[in-house]
Amino acid sequence: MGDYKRHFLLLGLPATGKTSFLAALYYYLTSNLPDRKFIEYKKSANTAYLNKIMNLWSKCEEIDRTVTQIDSSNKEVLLHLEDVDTKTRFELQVPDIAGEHFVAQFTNRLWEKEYKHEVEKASGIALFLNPSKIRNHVLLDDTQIDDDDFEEVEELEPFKIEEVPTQIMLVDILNYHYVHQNKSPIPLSLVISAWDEVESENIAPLDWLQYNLPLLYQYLISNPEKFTLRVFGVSAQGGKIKDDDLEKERLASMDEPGERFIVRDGNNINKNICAPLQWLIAQ
Amino acid sequence: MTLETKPKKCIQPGCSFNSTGICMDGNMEECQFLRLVELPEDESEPEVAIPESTTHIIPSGDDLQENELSTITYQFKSNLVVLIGEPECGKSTLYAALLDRFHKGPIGDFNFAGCLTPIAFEKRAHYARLKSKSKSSDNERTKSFEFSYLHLEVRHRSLLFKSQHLLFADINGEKFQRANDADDEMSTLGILRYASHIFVLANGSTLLHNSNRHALKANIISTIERALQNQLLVGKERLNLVITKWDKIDAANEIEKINSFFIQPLKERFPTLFGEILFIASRSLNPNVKWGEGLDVFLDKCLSQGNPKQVTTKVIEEHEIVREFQRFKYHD
Ligand SMILES: Nc1nc2c(ncn2[C@@H]2O[C@H](COP(=O)(O)OP(=O)(O)OP(=O)(O)O)[C@@H](O)[C@H]2O)c(=O)[nH]1
Ligand SMILES: Nc1nc2c(ncn2[C@@H]2O[C@H](COP(=O)(O)OP(=O)(O)OP(=O)(O)O)[C@@H](O)[C@H]2O)c(=O)[nH]1
Ligand SMILES: [Mg+2]
Ligand SMILES: [Mg+2]
Repeated sequence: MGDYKRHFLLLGLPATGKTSFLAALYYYLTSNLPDRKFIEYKKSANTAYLNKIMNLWSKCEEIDRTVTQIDSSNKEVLLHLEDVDTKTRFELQVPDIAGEHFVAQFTNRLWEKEYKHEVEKASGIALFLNPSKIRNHVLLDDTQIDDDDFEEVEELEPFKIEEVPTQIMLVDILNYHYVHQNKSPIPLSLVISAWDEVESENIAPLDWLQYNLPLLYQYLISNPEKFTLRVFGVSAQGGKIKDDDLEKERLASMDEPGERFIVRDGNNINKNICAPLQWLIAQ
Repeated sequence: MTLETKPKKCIQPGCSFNSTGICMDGNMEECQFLRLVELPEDESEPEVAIPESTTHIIPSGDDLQENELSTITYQFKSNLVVLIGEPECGKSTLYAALLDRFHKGPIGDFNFAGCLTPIAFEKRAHYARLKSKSKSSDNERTKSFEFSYLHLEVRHRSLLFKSQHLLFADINGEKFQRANDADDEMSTLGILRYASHIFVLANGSTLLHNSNRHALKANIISTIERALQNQLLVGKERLNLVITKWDKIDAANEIEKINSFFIQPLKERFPTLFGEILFIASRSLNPNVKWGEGLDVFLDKCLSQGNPKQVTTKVIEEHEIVREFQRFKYHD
């Protein structure tokens, strides 16, 4: 069967778990985990970046925030994969782009031409959200001061575009990605990362989205002509390693790092970390 | 890259070529959306040297000006909504509150389906939140004396119908005060003719104050009369009357008084002009009134068929773009 290229975009604001996911995915592809859906049939030309993040991930070390300047090694994340069941071979390109880059797209209203070309090639999007990194909307009504009370208070804070709520930014970012790519609808795998922190709520990921990000949820379900949506809860790390030495210790001492994975798809909970991409590939 | 001697216009939605000179597709020579156009006399544009660029500009997301509306109306039929009301009556806050409500969930049967001016909404929300804190500063006021526009797309939750597009006009309330004073000023409000829905806003807080309410009533009556005299409301079956800051009226328990002092006399003066009266609390300082009350009715009205039904920009011939909004410029 001939090779073909699948190009997916990993979108997400800063610290939403993109790099951690990629590290975990690379571990999955190169490990001896049972029941893998995909295997790497050929080594990538340059795995320096993937090896680096995977090593940190396996030791439960914090991975550095991805730098804004995309250096060539992380841009060229090109994996040669084979579907274990169908034996179909394909190349998977998933550049790891810093979350800051997406914030800048929103605030500066500029795209690099080069980035635009990447988007044009995309056959699917994985959008990452981190439940603990959501900037919520402050309701008008949260100000309980009467406009008829003539108070001389401090100077008004100017409006800061980078402080708009997460949902507003994501809707805008998704809109322009939709506009610039070539598929209608485009498959959108929404990854709610750090799911270990949410799992105790025992809620399906789509419902989580509806309750926690209602504007984004409404946008996505109102636009089935633009996006084919599937929502996954994903824990690539298995727990909180930042500021929690005990948990870090627990995770790092597991015999099989792949046991750390938690993936929730609807009400199904499993350890298939590649599920969000597997679904994109199947579309 | 060379410019043709004749000016070109881009009709591709979302492309900022017309304002920036940069082709969204990066190739002006082959771009299928660039058309030669005859510009109206008043619109001769200076030739722009087009810089080679490594960046691609996406629309600002901020307030749209009249000449930018075609980026939306070219693509979608839209209902144009205009709010008329004196300064501080709550126009900008009402728009901000509408998006606020969608932040919490659907409004009635409608889901949020998109917004091409998120920054315009967020700015209004930001200043409406903070405004009351500082009376000394005026940087929160809607500054523009030209209409600027916000875009919102909503869709019935059944998905049985396509999304509906709304364009909301916002302007500094002083513009209406000036229009109230002189025909010359009123005639610059020509956009009213093309509004699917016009809402006349009366500040509920002012209506509660004995000293100011008479002036408010007189001003609203004279604004409407002058608009009628200038044929700005021709064909409008109904204007919608909105009493804002409903939370305060309810707290003062003064609805009867406002009805007899304001609503009834207005209905008598213009017996066929007003339909249902809307009471809206965009915010609420009153525990008995939920913030956002009345916004569902407001949204329903905005989405209903108005007159004119909708505004669009049509490409009539290959080389000619008729931008309805351009024709609506009023310099006479
Ligand atoms: N609890 C928990 N935290 C996680 C998980 N995955 C990532 N995190 C945390 O989320 C933060 C961001 O992770 P990254 O993978 O660097 O996020 P990113 O999206 O690549 O961030 P940028 O490079 O800044 O765009 C880190 O503090 C991680 O520890 C997880 O599965 N569980
Ligand atoms: N309590 C209460 N206050 C409101 C309500 N709506 C608006 N306000 C306040 O009224 C003040 C004026 O509101 P704006 O929306 O700025 O008024 P505007 O009509 O846009 O004013 P201009 O731009 O100057 O023409 C602000 O301080 C708002 O917070 C409401 O429903 N209830
Ligand atoms: Mg990263
Ligand atoms: Mg205003």
